[in-house]
Amino acid sequence: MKYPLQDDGLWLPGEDDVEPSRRTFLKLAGFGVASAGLAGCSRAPSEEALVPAYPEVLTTAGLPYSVATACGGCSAACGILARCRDGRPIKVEGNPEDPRTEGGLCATGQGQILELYDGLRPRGPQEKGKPSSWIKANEALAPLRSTGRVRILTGTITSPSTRSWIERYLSGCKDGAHVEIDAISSSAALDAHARTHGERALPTPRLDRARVVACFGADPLGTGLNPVEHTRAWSKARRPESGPLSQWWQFEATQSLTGGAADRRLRLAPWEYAGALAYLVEALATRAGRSVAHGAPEDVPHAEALEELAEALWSARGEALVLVGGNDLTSQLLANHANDLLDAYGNTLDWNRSCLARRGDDSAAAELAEELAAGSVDLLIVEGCNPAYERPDLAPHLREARTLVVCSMGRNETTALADWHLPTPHALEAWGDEEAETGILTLRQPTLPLLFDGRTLRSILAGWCGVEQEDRELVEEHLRSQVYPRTDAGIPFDKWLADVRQLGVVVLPAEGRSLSFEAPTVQVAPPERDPSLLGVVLYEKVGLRSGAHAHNPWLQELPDPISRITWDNYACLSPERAAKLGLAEGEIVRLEAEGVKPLELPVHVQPGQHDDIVAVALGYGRAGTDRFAGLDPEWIEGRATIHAGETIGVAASPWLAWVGGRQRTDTREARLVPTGASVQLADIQDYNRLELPAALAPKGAEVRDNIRLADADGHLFEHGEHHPAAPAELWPEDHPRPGHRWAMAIDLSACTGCSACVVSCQAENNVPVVGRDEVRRHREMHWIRVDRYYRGEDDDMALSYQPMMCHHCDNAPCEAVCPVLATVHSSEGLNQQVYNRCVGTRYCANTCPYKVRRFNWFEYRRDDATANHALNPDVVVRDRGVMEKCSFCAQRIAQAKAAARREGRPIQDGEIRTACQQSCPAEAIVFGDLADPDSAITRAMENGRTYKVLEELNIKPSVAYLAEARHHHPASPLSEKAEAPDVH
Amino acid sequence: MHTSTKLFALIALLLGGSAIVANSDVHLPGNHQGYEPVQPIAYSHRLHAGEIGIDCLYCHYGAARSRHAGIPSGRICMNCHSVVTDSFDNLVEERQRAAAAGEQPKRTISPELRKLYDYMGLDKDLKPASSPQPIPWVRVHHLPDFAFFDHSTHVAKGVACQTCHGPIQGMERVRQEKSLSMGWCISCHRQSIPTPTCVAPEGEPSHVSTDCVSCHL
Repeated sequence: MKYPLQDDGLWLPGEDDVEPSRRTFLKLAGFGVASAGLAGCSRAPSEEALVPAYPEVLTTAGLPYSVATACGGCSAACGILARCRDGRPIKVEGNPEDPRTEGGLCATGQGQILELYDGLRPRGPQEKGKPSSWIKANEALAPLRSTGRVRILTGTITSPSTRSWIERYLSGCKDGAHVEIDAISSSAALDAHARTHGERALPTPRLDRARVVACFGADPLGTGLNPVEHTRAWSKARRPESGPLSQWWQFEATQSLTGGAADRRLRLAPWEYAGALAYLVEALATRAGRSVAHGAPEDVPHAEALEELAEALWSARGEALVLVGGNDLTSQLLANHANDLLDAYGNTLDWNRSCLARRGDDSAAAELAEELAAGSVDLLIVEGCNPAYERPDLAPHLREARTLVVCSMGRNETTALADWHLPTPHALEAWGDEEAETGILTLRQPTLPLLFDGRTLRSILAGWCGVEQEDRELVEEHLRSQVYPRTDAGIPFDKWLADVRQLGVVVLPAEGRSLSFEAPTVQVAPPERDPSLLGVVLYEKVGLRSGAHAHNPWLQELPDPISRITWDNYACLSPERAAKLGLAEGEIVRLEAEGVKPLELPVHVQPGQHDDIVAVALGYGRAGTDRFAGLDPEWIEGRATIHAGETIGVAASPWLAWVGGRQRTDTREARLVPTGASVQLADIQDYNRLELPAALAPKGAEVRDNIRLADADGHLFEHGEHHPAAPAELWPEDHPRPGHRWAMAIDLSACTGCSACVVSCQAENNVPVVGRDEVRRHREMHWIRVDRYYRGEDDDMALSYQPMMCHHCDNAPCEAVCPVLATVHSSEGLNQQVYNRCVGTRYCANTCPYKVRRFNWFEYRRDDATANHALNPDVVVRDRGVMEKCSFCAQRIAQAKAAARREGRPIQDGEIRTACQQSCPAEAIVFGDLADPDSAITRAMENGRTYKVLEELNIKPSVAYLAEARHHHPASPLSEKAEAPDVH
Repeated sequence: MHTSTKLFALIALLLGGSAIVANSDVHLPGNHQGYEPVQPIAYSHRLHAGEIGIDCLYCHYGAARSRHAGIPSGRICMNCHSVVTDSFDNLVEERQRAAAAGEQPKRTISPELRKLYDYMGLDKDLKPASSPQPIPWVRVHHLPDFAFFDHSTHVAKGVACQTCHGPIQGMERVRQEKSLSMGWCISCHRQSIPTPTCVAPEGEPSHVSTDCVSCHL
């Protein structure tokens, strides 16, 4: 018997009556939880908004469904699936249809769900800080189009339809221009390609095709242009089981994620990049039988390593790649030359899919600054960037425009200056088309009706051009006229569009372009610097990036993968430099430099950093971060994360420098003055090295063996003394194990430490934010932590990461000590935590050898009722006094089982993906059923690199790790017992 | 007072107390057995599910595919009640009156359906007149927040609605028939008698799970 299972085709009042509009729906059902409770079966918020990615799902109360859309975390606009329930998104996951990410998503992308439900977003347009309306705003602003000089200042626009509307709007101005800027400029790389290839574009590096990579100061895996895409591609070349490992050489001044993942990492100061590159280019040219003189210095550092690198690159030409970070034209030109010599263009550098995610032009920005300073700009429209905070070149002049209109989702430093603040919708509420890489278009479609009254720049400009159309129509019109003809779909547009809305991604045929190369004439000048000063490097952190996400508490509390510090930025110094200056962790120093306000920051001692460098993270010191003033639990010894009027961290963006018209993050020089004060940084890791502290180390076990290493062929190194597990078994021999055996394996070779899993888990499992002071007391609540270990020293140092969560031990120590049976074993091997039974003795946390249990010391604050819409309704929100920990996403297992039961079939391998696994850009996590002999997890467990941590305790963990395979491991007791393979 | 008298009084008190608990509406905290709230519209399950015999899943279609059975939206009601606007007797009477008077029968609306139309924002001709409002149904069956019950699994395994909801087809107003306590759930799970429709797919245990994570997520 068929039941009308969806509202489509049901009775509607009046025959010719149209669907109730979006607003009617809001009135009809109320938004969110109330509607779920009252209406039961809540109608789709707007007919268009809810096109499920998979046909099975319908808007039935409690039934999750996915909407394919585009991420708004950064300009890479990765394809995402917004997992919705009862008409609102509750979790964001990568879209497997996006050929770049194949389903991965980064920490920033995971965090955006909280920004959607930010209760402090403005409700509508504001005129000079006072609430206004769109009608008034349009009346006041639309006529300004013809007033005189109009400038539109935006971040990189990846939406072709927005770009065309900007052009159309400006074409009606007497003097109109569009200026694109980026918080971190890639102008030099673009200009270098304009010079060498005649096109101002960035070819996309293909890390899956590269066998040897030399990387100078770039961080493609951590904070680059599309870290998810690059991590995915990189990880494919880093599994010994699927072919030879790629070889990665990293030259950098600060410790980056990419540096941590490299085979060889050498410290090089930013002022030495150009010299080293010139040396490399000359060495490659010699091998190519050409003579090139770029003025490589005689005393180039790491000459021997560079020679070795040149040989490795040359022997892998066609599959070799040179990447250079920073915004120095000389280095970028040299990189292009090296890549041309290595035959990288067309092979490891893809012109068909050039990167469109960063197109800011430093010279155009400089021109705009001049115009503004001269007071000749009549209307300045700012969108998608926050120049008052992130661009000190433009910030002082913004107010000199006659009318300043700022389009921004939330309040920020620039909207504070604005005459008009026009709110834009969040990415999850908006329509859009995003082309961040040529020919790969992600469609953005709303996942819920607009929470607040925002409009996109596209629809604002269209309105001012006199086109009164819905945003959806503007996007569809553009797709119809510009994108659809480029496809070879062979089906009518409407059908094609319906498909695209299901998939969320359009992949257009590649054009097969190749550009001719013209060798640049470059002369490297010897660096001029004062050796008594320290070079300053400003860098981005994973999660917060350049500061756009500073209002997101998840990302603020996300431990930096390298320093493991939360809620702060700090001045990183190398251990040697810190010792020389007599500075210890947490001591506050003042950085002084000419022409900028001094910065006062606590010191963080960062192994692996160049000795002549002090590194400071951008993205902190954002206005409005005092929103976290009421975040901390209130108790007698509690200290507030922040007080009203303060900021989280210190803004380092005023220290951005302009050299030769280019934005630079690495050219300032500073004097370090100790202030005598000190703070305790909110650091979540106590022991940072794999080598044990001498006082603790028993003989023969001077090194922790939780991380194990393998050579490039995947052979596990034997090390240390083995402590075979006692054969004792907690369960009787005939204990029935009838069903599934859930288990997880994590490939340490692929893990870059990016921490996407941490935020994904937090979003999925309603993990609370505890605040800076509680983190200092090691009371953070993350169910998964990514431990980071250093091994080796200085120029022969490597980082190892180890995601650590509940191991669901078969002989679990926690289960034996719980006096109230609140933690017990399930028949499927899960270590269950029953919150409603727990009385909070914390015995289990004390006995857990992995230290992965988390105690709710307090009722953590969930004051923002809007933000609570991000809570997952399938998981309990835990109360004070209750222990919690990773459940292997038991709710996802339950949902998959329910689906299988409904359909009367067994669960398929790969059907259940835990939140951490789903998000992992490197596909490092495998989860599945050990009872299935053909499952991926069974295969992973049989891999030669597989080992278990603390196996000798006979606790039988269900989580295994795959040893970290590299070409070269730093000399350490971990690897010395095996023959260290040569880097070849 | 003698010790034996005190003891007797205490025993009498305990016995009397337990007798009261056993024979009255006094329950353990959280047990709402017997709850029978007045609803905004006097909707009768006896009439719809019992007398007319409409399948439960017609209105509570979520039960077959989702965790929640769902309270149907007014549009589900309107699938029939856009035509059926009054009780059968009244409709027949109006028809007879109209036939006798040689007129077209007029639309009559029962007082309870008028309430539905008011919530739907419809006038006497069932044309949209005002903005629709959600119907404030009162939820009867309510599990604690830490218990997760999945309707779809139970429906798929052929558990009858009445197993948990009692003789709903005879209830004029819905009443919570069972205690819905954990002990009550578990007692059924422990019996784990596989029904003909409850055949376990390959690889799944043939018993009904009593793991904590089956319900406590």
